[in-house]
Amino acid sequence: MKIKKYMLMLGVGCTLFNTSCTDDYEVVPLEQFTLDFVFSETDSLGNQAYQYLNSVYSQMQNGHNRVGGDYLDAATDDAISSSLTENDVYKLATGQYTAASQIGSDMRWNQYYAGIRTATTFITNIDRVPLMDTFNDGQPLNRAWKSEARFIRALHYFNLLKRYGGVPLLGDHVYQLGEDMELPRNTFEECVDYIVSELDAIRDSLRTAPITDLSTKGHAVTREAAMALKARVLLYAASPLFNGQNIDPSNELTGYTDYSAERWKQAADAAKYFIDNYTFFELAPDFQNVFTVDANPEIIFFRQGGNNRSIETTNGPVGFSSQNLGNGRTSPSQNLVDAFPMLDGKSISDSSSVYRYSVSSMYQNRDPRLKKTVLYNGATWLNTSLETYQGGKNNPAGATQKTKTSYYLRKFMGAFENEANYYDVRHNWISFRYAEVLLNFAEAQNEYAGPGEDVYQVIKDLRARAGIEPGNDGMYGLNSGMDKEEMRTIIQNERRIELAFEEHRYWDIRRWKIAEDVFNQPVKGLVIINSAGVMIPNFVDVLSASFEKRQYLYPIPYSEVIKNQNMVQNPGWE
Amino acid sequence: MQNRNRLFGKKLLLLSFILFSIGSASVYGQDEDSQVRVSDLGVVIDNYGNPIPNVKVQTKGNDIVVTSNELGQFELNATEGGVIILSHPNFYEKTVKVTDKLKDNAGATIQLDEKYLEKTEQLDLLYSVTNKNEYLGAASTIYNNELSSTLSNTIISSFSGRLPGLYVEQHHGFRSPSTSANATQDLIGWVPVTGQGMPSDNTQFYLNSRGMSPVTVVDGIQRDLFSLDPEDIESVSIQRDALSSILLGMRSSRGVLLVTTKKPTKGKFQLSFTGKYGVQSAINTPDALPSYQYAYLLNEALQNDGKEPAYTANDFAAFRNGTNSYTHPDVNWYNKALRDNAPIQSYNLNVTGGSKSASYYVSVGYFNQEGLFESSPMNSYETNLEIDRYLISSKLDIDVTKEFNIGVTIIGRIAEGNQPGAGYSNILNDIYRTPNSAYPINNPDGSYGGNVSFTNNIYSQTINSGYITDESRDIMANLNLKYDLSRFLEGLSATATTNISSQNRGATQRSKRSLVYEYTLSEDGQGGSYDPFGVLASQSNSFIPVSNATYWYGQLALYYKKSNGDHNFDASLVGDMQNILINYDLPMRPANITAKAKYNYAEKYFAEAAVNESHFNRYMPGNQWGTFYAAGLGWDIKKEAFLDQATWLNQLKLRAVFGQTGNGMENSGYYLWRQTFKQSVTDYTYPQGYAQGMGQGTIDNAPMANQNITWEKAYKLNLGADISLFDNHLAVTADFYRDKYYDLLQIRGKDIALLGFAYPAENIGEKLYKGGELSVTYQSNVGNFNYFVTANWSINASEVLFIDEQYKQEEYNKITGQPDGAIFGLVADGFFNSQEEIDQSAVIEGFDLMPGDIRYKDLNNDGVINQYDHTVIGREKPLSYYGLTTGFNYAGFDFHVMFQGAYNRDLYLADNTLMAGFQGYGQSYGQAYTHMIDRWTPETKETAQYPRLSAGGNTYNMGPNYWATSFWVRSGNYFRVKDIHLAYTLPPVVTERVFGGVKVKLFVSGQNVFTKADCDLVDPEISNFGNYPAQRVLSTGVNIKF
Repeated sequence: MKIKKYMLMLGVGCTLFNTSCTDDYEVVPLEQFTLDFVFSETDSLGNQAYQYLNSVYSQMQNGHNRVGGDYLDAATDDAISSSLTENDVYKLATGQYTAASQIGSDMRWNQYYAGIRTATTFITNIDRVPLMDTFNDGQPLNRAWKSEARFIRALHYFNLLKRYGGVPLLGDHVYQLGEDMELPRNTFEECVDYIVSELDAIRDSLRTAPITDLSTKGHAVTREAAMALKARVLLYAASPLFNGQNIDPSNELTGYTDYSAERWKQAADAAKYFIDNYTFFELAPDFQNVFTVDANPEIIFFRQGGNNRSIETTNGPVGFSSQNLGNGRTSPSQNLVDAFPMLDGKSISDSSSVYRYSVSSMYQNRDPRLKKTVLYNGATWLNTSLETYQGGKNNPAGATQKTKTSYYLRKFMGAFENEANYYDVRHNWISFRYAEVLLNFAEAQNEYAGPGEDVYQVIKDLRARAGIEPGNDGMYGLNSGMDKEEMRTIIQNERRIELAFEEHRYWDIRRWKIAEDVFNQPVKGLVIINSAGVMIPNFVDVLSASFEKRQYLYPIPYSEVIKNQNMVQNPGWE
Repeated sequence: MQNRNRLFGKKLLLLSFILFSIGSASVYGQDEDSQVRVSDLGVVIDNYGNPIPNVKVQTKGNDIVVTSNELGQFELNATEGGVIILSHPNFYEKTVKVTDKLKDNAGATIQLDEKYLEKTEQLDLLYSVTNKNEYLGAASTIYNNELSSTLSNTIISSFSGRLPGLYVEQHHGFRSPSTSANATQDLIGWVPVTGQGMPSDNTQFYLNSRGMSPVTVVDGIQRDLFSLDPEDIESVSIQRDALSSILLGMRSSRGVLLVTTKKPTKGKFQLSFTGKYGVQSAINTPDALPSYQYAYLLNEALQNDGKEPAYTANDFAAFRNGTNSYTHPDVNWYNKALRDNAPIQSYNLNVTGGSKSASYYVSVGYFNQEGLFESSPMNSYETNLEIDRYLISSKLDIDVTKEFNIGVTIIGRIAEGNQPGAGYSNILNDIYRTPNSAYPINNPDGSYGGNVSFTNNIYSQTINSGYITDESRDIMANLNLKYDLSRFLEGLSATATTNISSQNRGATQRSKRSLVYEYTLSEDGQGGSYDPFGVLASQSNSFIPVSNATYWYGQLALYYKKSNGDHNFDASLVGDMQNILINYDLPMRPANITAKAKYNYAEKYFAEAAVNESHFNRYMPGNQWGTFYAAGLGWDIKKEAFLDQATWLNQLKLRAVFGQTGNGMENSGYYLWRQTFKQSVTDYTYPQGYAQGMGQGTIDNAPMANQNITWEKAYKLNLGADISLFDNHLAVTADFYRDKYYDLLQIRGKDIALLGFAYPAENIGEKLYKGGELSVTYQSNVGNFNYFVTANWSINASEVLFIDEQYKQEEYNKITGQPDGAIFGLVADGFFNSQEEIDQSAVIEGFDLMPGDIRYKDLNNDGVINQYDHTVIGREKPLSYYGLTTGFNYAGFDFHVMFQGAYNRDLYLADNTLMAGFQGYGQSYGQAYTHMIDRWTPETKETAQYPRLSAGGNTYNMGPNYWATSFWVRSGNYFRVKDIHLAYTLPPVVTERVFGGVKVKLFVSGQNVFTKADCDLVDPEISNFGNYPAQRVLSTGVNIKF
């Protein structure tokens, strides 16, 4: 019987020889999503379009252990990687890259343009979807969604801008196969103007803080996030690397060809606008809680990192097992530890401090942020006193990964000082927070108008929140009557310790154009010898970084320059 | 003494093989005493006892030649004490002495042995059979004998060295079954994995014919089916010209690997049983450093890198003296986790026979192969790697009427595999990467050793991780109908073929995992502490659907044949269609119509042409139909009158084939011409707000569509010659080819990232493959000593004609014009022996160099080493490979040995674990091997073979900036004694008496007996130590026939 059936099939098969024969299957797979399905003209809920928007969001990175498994800050003088193998942050810090051999984990040219394409695809198609929903003030939802995608696209452009200088701006066009992609770079100025104009344009169509349904919408882009990004972009644009100290003075791609103090004013105004208008935001009472507690009033924008122990496992001290396993990936430097002032706000070398600094008791009476940023020998952690001396429990002999500086990272982790075990903690990547906006304002205002009271106030506020003693004069260790240069040093140091490991230092030393000086100094660590119970600290150099002038900007990928006749390489990388 | 003489006499009798008698002793002629007449009772039989027609029988020194008839009978006058010689192209020549001792016996039966190198008149082609002398293409074919001496789970093992024009490289010593599911579980349910290729049971070999992997066709059905019993295979043929493959239409570029299974034999019932049992052992495994040397060299590496040493002098002493095997272990993981040898066995029973109108062939087979992994009697189940395969194959051939013939074939196969729950390749990778000193197998308290870096104990993975079974079930059913339409038109016939074939693969995972404990001696040396690491997982039980494939094939064909004097004409029209359903995909539906015409004049001049229209449903509508064609010419010069006198020449045929072919289907992707988006919830989510578990799915861009995607194309030219000399003792076949491929799917050169999308492959590339194949066979005999030598040699050169290459500064940078697959990179030029040398040399930017690092050549002399100094550093010469088989047959002994090798072959040993050692593993360092002792040090700078040691990866020496360097290019040339086989057939006299006429053959054989390779660090074929090692197999067996 079967045979008959197949004989029949054979006959039919051979006579109906082309695709027009109808049968059990459709001609093209119906389960495949096409553009018409994703941006459906009949989907008034916008289910598919919303998932596409999620895809736009997901192309923003979570900064925790982002760069080849390390924090980007491990490529600065604040830390090094503990990894035993060659790692990306080491290559970034020592300049082991060229146009042809890129460090893929941070030189993400292709990925940024992929993100831009996704966002533009969303922006140009979302209006086809007949969304019925509105948000807060009766605004149609697709306006907000479109603006969220525009924010993320602007963020991608800013990420490109700080790495490469001016880059090709693609506008609202989604390029197709066969179109001419040999596009030239836009100038630095055009890029800044474009990003700022985008942010201004979307401001009024975005959600505003506070978002009502934080548990489901807390991740959404708000107008405050847009204005925080604008403040950051203008601050970068006003900074010496691009404003006045362009590495290639007449090159419009690498920065402005002139200096203008107005740019500092624009940066200060942008930050001031935020501070004045978005009064919902304030410094969280506890520095610790900024990173681990949901919806604290300091968070402007974040990428959710989940509720887990991944940061503890990756960066926590070695010497624990099972649930408390730590692999000690990040080794903070002595340089960073030394940057924290004494408890009264005076620097460790300042003899006017009421607290005496000594090497043997160097962790006593320090800025409380120190012990919330790094773990040191003798610090309490998981109910034990850490032993990071040579051969100690948390710095054992042998070839296993462990601290290279006798310090471990503490920031971002839960409050496990007096806990028996790690448990799951919120590990969001806070990409914009109020403290940064304040510092942005202080810096720009100091540069434009000098250290006025408003500048002082920012530092005082931050120090007060940190737990630094106000002192009798209520100045939190600040000298009154500082000039612009003195205040600049204070602000730069405050930025370093307040925002440590948050992907600021790496870019700050570049835009301040001090990277060549910073990397002239060795990165230092500690070797502690336990001599019959007496801890003898020895300062050692753990990394001799190097920095050439061309490294202020990344090289554009060699392949992009070769394939594109109009692509101009950055100076020094040709 | 007398006794001995009698025995000796008997022996003589036996050895002379005289089963020959003189019946009616009619005496002729004058010399009545010395001349006897051999009557019509002489019969020639084969090993099954079946008569052999067309055997030439002649008396020695006499020109009288007679031929045996259909019943194997012959009649000849011979002198008693004289000698007669029997010969036949398929059988070894035999000389028989005429004695009158057997004068009174009823008949004389002479058994001939089949030649090892079979010679047939006919050649199986795609869907048809042709006479070899009419064939114009390039085919090389091996028959059952050459396939069945190898003991392996796949028939591919016996291809290498035997088939010119087919390059076989074994990259895996054991099958590696897929155990991953054909769907991924997502929060929204099971999501099908689409666009998976057609499943293949070949996971161990790369097959390459003239630069392309051939299309495998088993009994007319396109299926990648290789795990078959060689006893059931009649022939395997690789056909490489355009005409032989043109019926494949869109797949015709790739050449055909034709597997034909045995057909029923009409006549007496025949039975053959073959049993083989062998022992396999691993060859070419690496030599691990013992712990104390490892510790010493790791310290040296760390010191070179400016890092703290990891071991103290006390540690060295403890490792060397073995004082504490818990804190200072020295475990050779290869020896502990793997056994020295493992059994392999195979049994096959087949019967065939039938009457005039119906015949049958039935075969059952069992195959079993075990892996080398240790297992534990503590388990009630097997954990070792294993495969069991059951095969049943049956064929029926029925002549319903004189004009109508039905053939039915059913092949069923069940393969069941087993492996340790941890997955055998994971274990091999771990063995390869774990230092001897990493941890002890067991701690003092019996727990499994391990630590923060090594969280999965190798021994525990081997014997205590549960098991994974996999199984695949195959069924192939063919129905062939042939109808002779001569009553309508002389020479016309029609065939209809249909096949249904299905494969089901699944796996069951019953794996588990144990914790490992790091044992730390307490400071007082008494007792110690145990810290747990890793993951504890109890045994799971999950079934994994791996793949489901159903194939339907239908074909209708018309054949017409006409001869008119010397004019011979052949034509055919073949239409076929497939319906291939794989997993959840929409079916693939290739279809073809081919018209073919063939003409020859007196078998002297030949011409053939074919045109094909091919269709495939997965291209964009409008791009679905393609036209392909091929044509050939031939000339047998020997048939010309002017060569009549050259009796030493039997054939001198020249032939040429040219065609335009295609390569599509597999590379069409799953509707790649449609721009689609993919949805996933588990792979990519963007978490919403602050809420936990609020990850929402994303819809992402799928690969960019290419609306114009179509099949690749080629112009293929083959020129060949077949020469046969000296009464066909010497045969030479030579082929030359020039295949130009164009419209190859490649990513365009200007794939500028600003597009924000990965570019799709487009039909733009052009490549040229050219080369030749030569095979020479000589067979002859000295009396009953029959011997043969057959050798083949192939060469395959290639050139990249177009890849849309972008600007390259230097001529030597350019890939265009170089061979396909050439390795580009930096040229190494010894080591830097001092800091001064470094300071004076061109170096790569961004590296801190030390003495002992590799110096690279600054080819453009610009003072810096960069991408402009890249040039061809390997695989620039045309790959050549060869095989030589020689053997003899004498007095019941059959012997043959096969040598095989390849040259102009380069290996790129970029495996840092092996070549540099001390790679990062977990939070620590991995294994290193003994050749690292020859590293550069200031003392050994004159003799050093390897750069200075470094720990944790040294990209400068191993491949700066991911560039290849010539330092790690090694010659992959090798020579192997691939196969030795010795068989002894018990003398008929013995078998007649003891076994009642059953023919018994005993044999021993060896595979991969000896290897000579230029590079002794790795096996020349299996150069990756994460793969199962190459095997040497020594086996013995028996074959029984009646």
